[in-house]
Amino acid sequence: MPKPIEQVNILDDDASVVRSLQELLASDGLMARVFQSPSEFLAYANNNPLGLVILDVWMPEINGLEVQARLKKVSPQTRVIIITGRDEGFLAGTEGRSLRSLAIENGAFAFLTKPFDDEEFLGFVRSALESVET
Amino acid sequence: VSLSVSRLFIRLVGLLASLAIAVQTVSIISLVLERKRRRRAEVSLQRSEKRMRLIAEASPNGTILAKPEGQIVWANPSAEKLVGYTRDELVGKSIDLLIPERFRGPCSDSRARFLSLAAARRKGTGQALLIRRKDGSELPVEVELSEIEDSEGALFLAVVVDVSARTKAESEAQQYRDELAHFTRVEILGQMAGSLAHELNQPLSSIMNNANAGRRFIATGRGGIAKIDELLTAVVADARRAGSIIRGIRGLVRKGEGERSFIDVNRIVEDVLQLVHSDALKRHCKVEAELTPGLPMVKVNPVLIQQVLLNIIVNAFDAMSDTVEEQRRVIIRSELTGFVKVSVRDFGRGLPSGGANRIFDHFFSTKPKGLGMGLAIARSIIISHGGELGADNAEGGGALVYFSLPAAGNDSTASPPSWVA
Repeated sequence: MPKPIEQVNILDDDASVVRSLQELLASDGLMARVFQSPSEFLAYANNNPLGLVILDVWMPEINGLEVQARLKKVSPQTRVIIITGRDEGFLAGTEGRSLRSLAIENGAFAFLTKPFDDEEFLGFVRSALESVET
Repeated sequence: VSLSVSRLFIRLVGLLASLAIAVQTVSIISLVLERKRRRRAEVSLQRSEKRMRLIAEASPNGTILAKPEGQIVWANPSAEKLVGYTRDELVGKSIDLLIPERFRGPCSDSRARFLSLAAARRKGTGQALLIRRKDGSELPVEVELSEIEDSEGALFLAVVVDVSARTKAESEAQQYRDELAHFTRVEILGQMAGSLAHELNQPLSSIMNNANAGRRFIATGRGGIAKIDELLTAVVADARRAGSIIRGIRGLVRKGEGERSFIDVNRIVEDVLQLVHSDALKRHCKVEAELTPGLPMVKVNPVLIQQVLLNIIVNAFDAMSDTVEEQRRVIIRSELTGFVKVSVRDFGRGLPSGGANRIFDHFFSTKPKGLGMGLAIARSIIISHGGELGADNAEGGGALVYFSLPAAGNDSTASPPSWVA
């Protein structure tokens, strides 16, 4: 029997950001599974089908765009919303390419810079979930 | 025969009389000579005294003679000029007249103060003392004190040298050093601007999310008071976090570094780690802290020590730009080695060839856009705190840069009297 799809997941190394996103989603009636470690998240994603992941970029160990690329290989159907506290700066080996363009090119559903508007964020979350269901 | 005897007797008397006259004459002559010699000696002494007085009067250094209990008995024109009082106004007054009121203290024993002044000078603190002039202004001076004896007993001779020009030059040099230190702090923070904005965006983002969640809970009637309270508590915690980051940045950007205070060096390390957190993420560097708890306090200017550590850590990040990402680690360790020591170990390219100490030279830089001032200033900051800044190539590659500071309890620097400028 296939595992049920985990609807909303959050990966951000900052504990307070993770909790606040969880509350924001809860205020809209959505429950979220949270991760603070990229490797723990990827290990989980390897064994569980995921509907949507809200993904931070600047994390220790593995950056968010690298997580996105690895996730795409094991779970191409998972929707990804990238959130970052800084949209400037480059990742190693991608000099000259903006984070936004790399994320979108890699199939990100949305790219938001923190702090973001709640309506905009929840709008993207709903759209992403609808696109998973269809 | 009797005639011959009689003549002989007369001659003898005549001879004796002549002899007595001669002796008297010699005595008179020697008395006159002695008087002349004494007179010459007196004149010589007077000349010598006059010469000495002229020298003392003409000395460019202020000279004051006082009794052991502090009563002034004489002062030369240079002293009059220095303190603004005439000799007549000084003579008979206590030396207290020249000590600024705030330094006089409850002790009325001027002799004790005189001796403490002498003791302070003997310690060779090299610091100027402040004297109060007649017009109320204060003048930095150096005082050489010696005890002399004359017919009236012991006296203190104070030679007072105006060092205001030297003090002013030192103050200006210190101001330039402060400005340079400030400039390099701002330069580092400027390079980190994007990372610092990210660091601040994290709590701001949480505040916004929690506040919006609260509004939504209220609008939909879900959650209840307990949930709103929970959200507001999180908002307060994140606002505090943002405030702490801003305080850290403001402290470093502000001109003038403030005072030295007793502080746990681990707190300085933690404050700096908060500032470099986002920069480390941006550069894909892992930062590990191995802090020894319970270290003795150090008496330092926290902003300046933060600047030193920030400089070393940012250099460590820079040194690892060519290192593969998995190996980009910075290990910050605090420990007690007699001194309180903080070391930063990286896994970068190591120190430049030609002597590790070159990195502390002014204008030496391995970075294309580096000014080469950061570590030179860092070293002068650590030395001014009685510590040491050094660097070595680490075993297994990379560099180890460290600084040590004297533990506050082991401060060997003698405290000068409170009225030392």
